Amino acid sequence: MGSPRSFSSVGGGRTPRTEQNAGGAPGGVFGGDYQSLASVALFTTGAGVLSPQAFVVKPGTTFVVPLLTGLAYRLAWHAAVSCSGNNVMMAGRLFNVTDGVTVGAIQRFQPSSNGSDEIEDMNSFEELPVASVSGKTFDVELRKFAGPLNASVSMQDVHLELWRVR
Amino acid sequence: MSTTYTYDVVVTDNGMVNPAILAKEVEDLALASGGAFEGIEVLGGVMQSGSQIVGGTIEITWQNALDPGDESAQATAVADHLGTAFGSSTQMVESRGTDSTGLDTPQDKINVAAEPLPAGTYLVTSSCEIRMQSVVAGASVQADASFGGTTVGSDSWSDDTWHEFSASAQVVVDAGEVPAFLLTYQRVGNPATVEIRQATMIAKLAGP
Repeated sequence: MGSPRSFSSVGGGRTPRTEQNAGGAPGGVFGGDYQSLASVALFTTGAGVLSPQAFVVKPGTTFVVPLLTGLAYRLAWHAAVSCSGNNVMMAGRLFNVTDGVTVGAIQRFQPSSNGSDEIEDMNSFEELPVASVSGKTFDVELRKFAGPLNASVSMQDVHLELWRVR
Repeated sequence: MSTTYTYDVVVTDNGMVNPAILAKEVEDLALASGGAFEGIEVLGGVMQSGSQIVGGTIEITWQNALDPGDESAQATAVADHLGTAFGSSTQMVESRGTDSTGLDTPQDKINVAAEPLPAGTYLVTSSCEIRMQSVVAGASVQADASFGGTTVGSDSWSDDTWHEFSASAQVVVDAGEVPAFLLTYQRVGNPATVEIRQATMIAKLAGP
């Protein structure tokens, strides 16, 4: 028997689950000038959901950036994604949760092969002045952009990096 | 307020989940107490293909909380779930040799179930050659093609030269369905022997 759990939706998406972040803590040889987060666990969504689905947070990707001291930073992300069929298109983005804006470009993927085992890289980056970076929260989100009701999309091996460029 | 039910993938029949197929299986339960079905997510596990996940946790979300009977039905559906992987979204079957019959009831030339298919609209094409073994007045050969019970096309011929019969149709398939490729032939009218050869059927995913 499953265990019921209730939550409320925000902006059509789901609230983040318990995070298990790796990295992210400043203090290495670069101090706060380099920060990273990894969330390698697989996450699958979209099955039973009409397209286009609202963006949902990839669990484990909430990236909280503390106060920074440089002039500008570059924020980049990478993920491996897949779809349950080649008539399914998915989208992924790095999202500035604090300000409600997408960082870099929204990425899209649709398998080209006949099978459902095609995996694609998805990545993007953007250079940001420190004023737009410090003390903010980012996450990586995905959604089924187009495809049948009973089709799913997946994301895994997410890496986020922030480093100082000026 | 949505309600989410959580299950370990290990409780499924084979310890694996195909979220797209499980979503259809849960939808088919028509659990009225839950209101709108809001979908399935799977956290963790290992991807065996784009459709099959071993391990992890299944989350099934409904608009409302399920009553005890519906919750039990859902738990049973999860436990019975096989987690079957999808086959290729382009599938082909063929039967090239020549077969004959004198019967006036449909005889199978092709009767093969597809591998489990991803949901979508498929373009199904069928082709074969048919003829009368010899011309008989008032007799003809008829061939019928279907995919998962949906008619793809029919044709008939009353001459003893080979006649090409080809047809195509769009067929909507839900996740995990295994529609049968079926091509039959038979005599129509007066007693005679009819023949068929070079039969192929193809289903190709063509859209959402």
